[in-house]
Amino acid sequence: MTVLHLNALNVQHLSYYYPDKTLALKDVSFSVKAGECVGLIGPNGAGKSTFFMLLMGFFEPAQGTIQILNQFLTKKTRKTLRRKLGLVFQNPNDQLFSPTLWEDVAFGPFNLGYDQAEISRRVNQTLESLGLIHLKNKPPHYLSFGEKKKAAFATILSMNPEIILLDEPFSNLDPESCVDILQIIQNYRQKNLTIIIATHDVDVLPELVDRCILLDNGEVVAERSVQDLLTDHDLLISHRLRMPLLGQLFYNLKRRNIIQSSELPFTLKQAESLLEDLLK
Amino acid sequence: MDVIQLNSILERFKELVYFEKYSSLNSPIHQVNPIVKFSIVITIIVININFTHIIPYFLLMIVLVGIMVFSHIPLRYYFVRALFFIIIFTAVIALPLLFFTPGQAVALWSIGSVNIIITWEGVLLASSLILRVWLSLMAVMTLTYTTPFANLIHAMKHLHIPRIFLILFSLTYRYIFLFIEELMHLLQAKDARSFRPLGFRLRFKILGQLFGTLLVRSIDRSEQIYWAMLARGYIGDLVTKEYKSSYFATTLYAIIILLAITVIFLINLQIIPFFYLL
Repeated sequence: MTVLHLNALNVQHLSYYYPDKTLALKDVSFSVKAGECVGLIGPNGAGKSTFFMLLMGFFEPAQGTIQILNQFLTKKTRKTLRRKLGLVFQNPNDQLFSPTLWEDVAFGPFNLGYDQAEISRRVNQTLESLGLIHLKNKPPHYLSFGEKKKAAFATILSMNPEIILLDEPFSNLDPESCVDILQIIQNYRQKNLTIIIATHDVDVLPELVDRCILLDNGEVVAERSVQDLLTDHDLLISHRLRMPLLGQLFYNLKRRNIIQSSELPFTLKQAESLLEDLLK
Repeated sequence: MDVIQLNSILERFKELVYFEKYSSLNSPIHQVNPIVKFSIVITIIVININFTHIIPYFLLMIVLVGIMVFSHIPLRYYFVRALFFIIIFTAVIALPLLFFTPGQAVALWSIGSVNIIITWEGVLLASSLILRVWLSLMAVMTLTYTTPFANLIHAMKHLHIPRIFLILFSLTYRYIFLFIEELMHLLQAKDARSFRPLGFRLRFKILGQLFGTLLVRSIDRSEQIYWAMLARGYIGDLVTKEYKSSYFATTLYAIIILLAITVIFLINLQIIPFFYLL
């Protein structure tokens, strides 16, 4: 597909200091192709959320450039570029600020300048697709945390963004809500949207992303395929992360020579087929 | 004060300010267009401030109680909530008027060289102020308890109330519950680690630190919310949802209430004779 050859995001030598002069990001360079789903992994305080803030144009970089959909992010272009980005905050309480869910989901399309009929169509369609339509007149503070998280997704999906930025989308969720969110991301992946997921939850990433970028202390430490990066036990440990549990289990079995497989499984499907082979 | 007591006070406060439970009912008053309801409430407040006799207050109260009865919301909810705010108001604003209004003394206490005097003019001023505030509060309640908050904001937007106020109302209503919850969590966290009775000074020091933390968190949250708004293209305007209202109920409500308050206003001006004022 030709669309995959275009860069949705290109960051070059990006550095940023917090107001107290602490270095937050140092010489960060990487690019993300259109339609790609990338995991931005790193421990707490690695600079993942700050990076998103820079992409949204909320913070000014000390050095370096950001190109979004082949357009440089500057003071002049940031408002236009924000229309193409959808950021889901880590805490949904920060994202849901309107008196009812309907109005919260309508907030984006309204600011994009659509008429009332189009706003209603988009809001209802988004809420229907996420199974939230029955909650449309509810005030956000009366939703459960899982519902709030889904609602936070709805607020950006109603804007039809070209790039979706997800900040810790699975944090504090119960297993069912986690599956729901996973399903939502997978659905939007199939629509060829560019998605960047910032997380330190490595268990779900293999189900979603093609490529992973490891960020620690504000620096890009590694940039590899998800399989490559999440099998590098020593690298992950040295950066306060761990392998996905399934991978870790088979890694331990391999180290003790109980299994001989050259590739470690990460998804349930992979593990099931490997176990089937072993048990045959 | 024990943290359990504080938590129950905060829970009670949450209940008092949360009126969405009643505003989504389907009484005749709920079906009235919020723009009409809002305009009538403002008219009632303005007229009530200008009353010069006591009888019009009671007549207006009868009108408001009538609206409450037709709203199908138990009257005690109105009165309990009104009482809560009236007590706060009395303590803060009306009570000092008893002592600081010059006039004829009705009670006097001497503590050392200090004389504390309650004046008749002070009593009149404080009671008329309480009555006016009580009526205004009841009028506002007939609006807020019968109108979903989102519709209320929509109505105010149509009445060209400055957007910045609407955004402030909207955000305050949205986050007051979260603010109370965070305060409760902080108090619970403090209590979970308090194992011995604390002295007065230390207790105040801890409470000071706790409110300081709350302030920092609030500032942090406000920043995040503003970013969330900007991220969705915020341009200084507020989106509101269209609502359905009954034309019949609106017309009937407007005619009856406007007629009633006009008659009461004319009674106050003694243009329409009322036996008690003769």
